[in-house]
Order: sequence, then structure tokens, then C-alpha cells
Amino acid sequence: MSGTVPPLTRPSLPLAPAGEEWEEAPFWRRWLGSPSAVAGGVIVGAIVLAALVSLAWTPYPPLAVAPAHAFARPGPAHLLGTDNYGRDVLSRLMAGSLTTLFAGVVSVLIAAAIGVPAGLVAASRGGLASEGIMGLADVVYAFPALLAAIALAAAAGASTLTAMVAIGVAYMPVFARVTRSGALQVLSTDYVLVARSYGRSRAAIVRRHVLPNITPLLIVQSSLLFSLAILAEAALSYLGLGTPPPAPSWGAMLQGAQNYLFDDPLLAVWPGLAIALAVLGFNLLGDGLRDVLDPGLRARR
Amino acid sequence: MTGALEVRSLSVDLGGVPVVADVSFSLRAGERLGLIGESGSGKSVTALAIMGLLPEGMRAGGRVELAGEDLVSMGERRLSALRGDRIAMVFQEPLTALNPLMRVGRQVAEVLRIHRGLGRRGAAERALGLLGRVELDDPAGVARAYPHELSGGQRQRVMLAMAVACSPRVLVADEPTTALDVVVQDQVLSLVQRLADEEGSSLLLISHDLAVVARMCERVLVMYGGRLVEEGPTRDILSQPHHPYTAGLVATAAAVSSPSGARRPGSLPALPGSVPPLGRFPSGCVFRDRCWRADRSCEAVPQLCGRDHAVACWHPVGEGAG
Amino acid sequence: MSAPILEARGLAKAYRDRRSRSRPGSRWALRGVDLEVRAGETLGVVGQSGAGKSTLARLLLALEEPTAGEVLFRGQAVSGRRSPGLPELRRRVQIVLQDPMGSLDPRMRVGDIVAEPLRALRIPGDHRARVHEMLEAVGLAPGAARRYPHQFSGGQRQRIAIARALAPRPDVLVADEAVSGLDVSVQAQVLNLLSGLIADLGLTTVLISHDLAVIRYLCRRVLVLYQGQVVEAGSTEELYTEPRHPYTRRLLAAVPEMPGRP
Repeated sequence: MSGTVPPLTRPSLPLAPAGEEWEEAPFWRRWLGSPSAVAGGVIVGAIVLAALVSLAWTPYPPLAVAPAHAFARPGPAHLLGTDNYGRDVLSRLMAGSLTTLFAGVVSVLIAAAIGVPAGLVAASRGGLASEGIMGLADVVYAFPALLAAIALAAAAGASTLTAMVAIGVAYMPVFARVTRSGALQVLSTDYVLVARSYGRSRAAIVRRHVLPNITPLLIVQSSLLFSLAILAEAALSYLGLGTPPPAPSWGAMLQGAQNYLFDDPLLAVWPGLAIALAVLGFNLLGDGLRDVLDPGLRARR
Repeated sequence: MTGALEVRSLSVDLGGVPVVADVSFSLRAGERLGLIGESGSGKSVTALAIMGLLPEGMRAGGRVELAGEDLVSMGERRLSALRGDRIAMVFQEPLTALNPLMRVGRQVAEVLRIHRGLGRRGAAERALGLLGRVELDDPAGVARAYPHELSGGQRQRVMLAMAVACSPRVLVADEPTTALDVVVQDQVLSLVQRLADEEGSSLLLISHDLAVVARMCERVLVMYGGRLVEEGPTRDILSQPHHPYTAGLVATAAAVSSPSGARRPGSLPALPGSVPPLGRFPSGCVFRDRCWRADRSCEAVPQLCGRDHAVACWHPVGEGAG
Repeated sequence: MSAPILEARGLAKAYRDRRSRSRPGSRWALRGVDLEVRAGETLGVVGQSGAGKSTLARLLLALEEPTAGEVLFRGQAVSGRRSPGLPELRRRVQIVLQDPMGSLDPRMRVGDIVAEPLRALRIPGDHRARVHEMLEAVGLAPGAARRYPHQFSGGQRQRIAIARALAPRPDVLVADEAVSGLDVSVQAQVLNLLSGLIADLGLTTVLISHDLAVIRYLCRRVLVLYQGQVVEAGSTEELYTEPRHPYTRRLLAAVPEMPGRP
């Protein structure tokens, strides 16, 4: 009689066969799978490296003035030439990268520190609180960041710090909005419903479920905002509202090179290129991180 | 004998991974053929391959002959002319299959305008007639509505209206009632039956629900892991399944819906394990890793054999030593 | 006759209807539902879409407030301003939902997912041991605790959801379409698991489903829900062999049948 009806299943099931399909693709493998992540990672890595190295060593002191060697062409002595004061461009770029990264990090941190909690509160409370917070965010968003930077510089004196605060506050609404929409999505899932059913408080749900699930979103957003912050800092420095001379900042270098465009156009090209590369790098990194951190792609062969 | 649809060695692969392998069957004129499979069996992909609607990345091989023309190697131009006219498809989820931004009447009319060259007025009138034919209560009202304003049952009837608009030779229905309530499902299935009879169309009904197929189809194909494992008259397949997979499905379906009173907990017959994900099917017989009758000979791929009732198995159920 | 463990009296719920532009106002998902479950019973609630099944599940678990009526757990109110029964409800009544994809946090390991109710309810004892015990009880290897939900199949995820629901040793299990959307064989496996666990643990069960066969398999008593109201109630066998309400009859007549074996 055996064979006509299949034997009953024992409740015990073997897990899906352990093999590549079901194992987590290791982090670095996923990274390599995304061209954006690789390209972005390389560029950002180079910038970070330059910044770190500049802490210990630069080919020449970035502030060392040497009028005798002004406007030197790129060559073995000065790889990227010198500027109108005879300062080594490469050294200034390296030191400037430190400023750039610093500005990016602080701006994004400020934006996130205000924006993320605001978004979380708006999402979990809903109703009036949500409307209020988002409305406020809209107002800030609409306010021209440049104006705010000018006002701040006028009040507190131009410096990298004032630039960063201005940028951070200006981009806070972006974080608030992204956080809120991400949080709302998580809050509408079944697993949050189940968490409520076994008694998790609203705050605990935000902590244990919302934050881990929106973190990839926030990382990607941070990376994208980083590139905007770099651009903004460069612009502010260019306008004289950011890093005051003679401290090397890419924006300030660009501004300085402006006057000598006909004498030595290359002086403008180097900082401009650096800014463009940094923006590109962080954008690519942001896109790449989106691929790498997407749990849907984790189980890829 | 050439039927309405001849499928020969149809295969579909996704980047080198086989999704459907070596599927061959005939759909005779006016026949109602069921294709049974669970998720991951490749049944929907088979339907899409026949219609030439495979998504990016999937490629089809083999032949699919509709009135002598091969659909697989056909150009998109000719294929578009045939789709909706000679061969039509009804999908599972009408909400996504209908254009959300277009009134429903216009969508039905569009089929007629494309394939019958009717003008706006003429097509609209015919569309109204079709909507009445699919037993919609207020055809004019429905025609003016957008898809999201209709119920699931109404949407599915609209899809049917579009499908039979040009009296196709072959109607392919992919899980047409899975998303519907039991009562509406009953009505829609009766409707499909009636329409197929009236038009003289052949029907290829794809479903995971054995009872639905039992009700609608004269012959049944059973699909697992992208391959056909059994084929035959519905009554035979359901009462005396030869393939272990089919036997498992039938036993489970019969037990769950049987009216027997006392139930011992944990007593439902069920196939062990679950359908492997794409690309993880065993070599040789696709069912080998879940089959209690498997042995070394199953390392070779069995072919469908048998005339009326065919099975692809080295150890079919009910034959030979268990 | 012992007192019911979970009760709904005159339960009604209205939502603001945003869909139809022509008829603004409320849409009543439930209109006065009475329900009683006694300890150890398996109660089925059968209804098609739009009948109000999910709304009922949420109200029974006090995840939403009823517009009218009340829910009582062991005689104590769990809805409304003062809900003395709520803490006990949270502890003793657990839920399993339909979608195994959505009901497990994709960023948490399975072991943590199953342990969450224990942590949230501050249940003392060795959580790790309990998690392993539960995973074994639902037929998963202990190594599953380290993995993430996306590494499992639909049926396995549903088992994880069941393990999570049963970890805090609830008295009542509410299953909302818990086996819908699973393949035939997997559905049967999970039904076997559920029926076994219900019997072993003496669980009181409320099973909500559109699938009459599933309800018939698991439940002793059934309520038929239609457009937010209970149209018929009775023992499963009575209902299936001698349905009284016309809607019940329509429902039963519409179910396609497997042809009987010779």
C-alpha cells in the first residue's frame, strides 16, 4: 500500500540547504558588486587619505609663503605648481581636504542631530505635532541658506564653524522629511503591529524597529548631503563667508585664483577639480551604499 | 493533429538559470486545459513565454505554434497584432493589469480599435456590449469608471471583456480568480466557461488550486521546477495520480477539503520540505530531493511517457513495486 | 458553563471613508459583533474580503479602539479610557498574521525576533533557552536563531512567527489568515504544526480566515462574518452540513470541490 499516499511529514524540517544562496553575502563582496560603491569608495578613500596624511606631512607647509617661486608650473619640485604667493598648491589642496571633510562631517551631524529626532517625533506622534514639525521644516527649507550664512557670519564672524552651522541648519529639513517618511513606512508594517500587540511602548518600537530599519536610508542621505555640504562650504568660502584666509580651503583657493585667471588658469582648475571630484565621490558612494545596504540584495549569489 | 496551440520544447532561462525546461503540450481547439503548479513551478512564466511577454532578462527557446505561426521566433510587430486578437490573456491581479488612469470603457474599446480598426464611436458601442456580456450590472456606469472605483470581481470581468473582444482562438487565464472571494470566484469561473464555449476558444487555465482546475478543465498538466511532470484527463489525474508530486498535492487538497468529522491534530498528509528557490532544484529529476520514492536512477531526467495519461517519473505511483 | 476568556460585546468600528468622492463620511467595518471564546476552544471566524475580519482581529487585540462596544479579557475591559484588562491581554493573548514577509523585522535576527515578546513583557527566565525550545517546537534547527528572516522560505517564516507568538506562553492565540498565501503543501505542514501545538499546549484559538476548508480543519465553532456582522454562528459540523443563513449557504455552494475518489 505504500506509495499511493505520501508519508506524513514530521514537523521537523531541515533548514534550507546552507549554501551561497542562503548565506549572507559578505559585506565586501556586496561592495564589489556595486560599481558606484567601488568608484565612490575609491574617490572618498583617496580624499580621506590625503586629509589624514596632511595632518602629519605635506610636501611643503601649506601656509609657507615664497614669493620668489610664485606661479610655478607643475613640475618635480611642485607637483601642481604654486599660487600667487608661492605656496605649494598640492600641499594646500591636501590641507584643504581636511577642512572640507571636517565641514562635511559637522554639517551633516548638525543636520541629522536636529532633523532625525524631529522626523521621528513627527512620524510617531502624528496629528498636530507632525504637521507642526513638518511645517517648521518647510519654513527652514524655504529660507535661503546663503542668507542665513551671511547673517550668521555677520553676527559671529566668518569662520568654518559658522559656515557649518548654517549649512547644517539649512539641510535639517531634508533629514526630517526622509526620517519621517521612512519611519512612517516602518510603523505601518505588520511586525510593528505585532510588537504593539506584545506590549512594546511607542518609544521602544522607535528604538528597536524604526531606527535600525531607517539607518540605511539615513546613511545614504548623509552621504548625499555630504557632497552638498562640501559644495556649500566651498561656495561660502569663495564668498568670504567661510574659512578665512590664509587657511587653505578649496573654496577660498578658488576665490583667490579668480584674480589670476589669465596669468595662471591652472590655479583655478586644481581646487575646482578637487571640489567636483569630492562631490562626485560622495554621490557615487551614496548610491553605492544604497545598493550595498539593501537587504533585498543580501542573498545574491 | 495540429491543435489551436502547439507548444514544443518550450524553455525559458534567466541569465543561464533554467526557469522552464522542455515543456511540450497541445491545446486542441475548444479544449479546456489546466496547468497546475505551486509558486516557483514556472507556470506563470510559461504563460508569459507563450504570449511573448517575458520580462527583461528572460529568454525563451523552443516553438509555440498558433495556427501554424511560431510565436517564440516572431517579431514584436506580428506578435502585437496577434495578441489580443488571436490569443488573449487574463491576469491574476486586475488592479495592476488595468491602466489606473484610463476609464475602463475606453480600455476595452482600445482593444477593438487596435485590432478591428473601429472608430471611437463604434468601438465604444461594442465595448458597452461586451461589458454587458460579462454580466456587469451597470455596463454604462462601469464603462465610465476608473479601475480603482470597481470591485475585484468587476475588474476581472472587465479583463475578460477585453480578452474576448476579438474572439480569440486561445484564452490564457493565469490564476484569474485567486485574488477573488469564493462567491465571486464561482461566478467568474462560470463566466469564463460560458465565454469560452460561446466563442469556441480554447482555454489554458493556470492555477495552484486543484479544485478550480477540476471544475473547469478536461485535461490537466502538472508542473514542478519548470518541467511538466504529469499530463492527462482531469478525472484520471485526480483519482489516480501517477507522479509522487501530484499524488502529494491531491492527497493534501482532498484531506483539507474533506468533510470527515474527527480530526487528529497533525494528520494532514503533506509533502515534506518546500519548493526550492530558482536555481536550487536538484539535477536529474527536479522532484528528487523531496521524493520518498527517489533512488539512484532519479539522477537522470525522466521524460514524459504514456499516451493519454503521461508521467515523467522513474518510479510512478501505483505501478511496480512501491 | 465557565466564563468566556475573551469576549466582544456589540463591537463596532467605523473608518472615515476617503475612497468614494460621492459619498464622504464613515465606512462601518464592523457593525455590532458579539463573540465569546471559552478556554481551550478553537473558534473560527470566516468571511470574505471586506467582511471586517482584520478589523475584528485588531480590536480583539486592543490595537485599535472600537467606535462602539467593548472587548473583555477574563471579564475585564481592554478597550476605552480605563482598561484594567489591558496588561493581562498583552501578556496572555498573542497574534500570528498573514504575511510572513511583513510580520518579521528584516533587520533582526530570528533569535531576537522570537525573544522580543519575552523582553517586552519582562518575562523572567532564560530567554535564550526559551527561544531554542520554541524554534525546536516549530520544527526549525537551533541554528536558525542566528539567521535573518530573508534567509528562510515563506512557510519557515510563518513558523518563526508562530514561535514568536507562543514564546511568552499565551493563553489565547489569534491567527489572522495565518496560512493564506502559502502553497498547498506548506499550508498543510503549517496546519499540522498549529493543530499539534494547539492540542499540546491547550491553547484557546481564534482563527480568522476566508478559507472555509482551513477553518473546518482547525475549529470546533464558527462565526460567519458578512459586511461587518455575524450572520450565523454554530458548531463547525452543523454549519457545514446544515447552514441556515442564505449567505452561509451561498458561501458553501461556491467553494469548488475536489471530486471524490472512486
